[in-house]
Amino acid sequence: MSEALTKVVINCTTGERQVLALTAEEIAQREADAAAFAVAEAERIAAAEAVAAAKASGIAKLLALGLTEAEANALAK
Amino acid sequence: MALTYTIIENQALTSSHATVTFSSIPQTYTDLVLFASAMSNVSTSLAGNYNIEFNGVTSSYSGRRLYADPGGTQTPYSDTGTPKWGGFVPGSGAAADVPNSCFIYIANYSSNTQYKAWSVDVVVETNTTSGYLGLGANLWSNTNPITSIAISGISSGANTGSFIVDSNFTLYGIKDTV
Repeated sequence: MSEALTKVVINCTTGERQVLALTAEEIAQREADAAAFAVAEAERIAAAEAVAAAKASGIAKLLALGLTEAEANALAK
Repeated sequence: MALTYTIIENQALTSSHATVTFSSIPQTYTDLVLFASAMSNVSTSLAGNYNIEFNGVTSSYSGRRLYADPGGTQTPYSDTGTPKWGGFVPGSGAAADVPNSCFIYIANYSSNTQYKAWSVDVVVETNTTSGYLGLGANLWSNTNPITSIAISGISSGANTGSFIVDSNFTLYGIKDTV
């Protein structure tokens, strides 16, 4: 059985609390927000991996030119 | 400058809720602070992100998030892909008694001529090797006064979740004069 999705609404003027079921639109927005987070995270990871790969490739080329590992790593920072 | 903090409302959850909304917010303060000490049931070994939304409006948000994990192996980063970001919260894989601590500052919320900026400062303790810290600088490009604030949309990857029992939310009004 799936979780019943609810919201608690606190009226800051009267102090009244209400517990309401999420509307279909709110549930759809919740799913859309999760999808957007997932896409953003995937894009961030892909970008970080691309930077790491380019850095490793650059260090390898510097080593091939005769630089020491310390020198190559210093240049790649 | 924040000279006075007044509690507008506090909500300690006695059951799980996907969304926590503060409505009919008085327009008598200069700024707002929303402090959360929350936990969630989102399926993740770490923490899930969640959103903040004003007046029930889902558009015209932008922001940049900074993220650091001093105890872990992940490189610190920033991104702009989470425009409504309101913080992150431990999920089902975290120790059950470890909440986040999230401070959201909303500037000039009652203005009817200016956009609304908010900052996020959140930390999560997992009781293991990592401590997750996030900072957010965000803007809602809308000139309407903020009359309601909703915290919702907990997710980790494609997984969604709710705030669970004992999560606590307090909305403060800030005045620049005593």
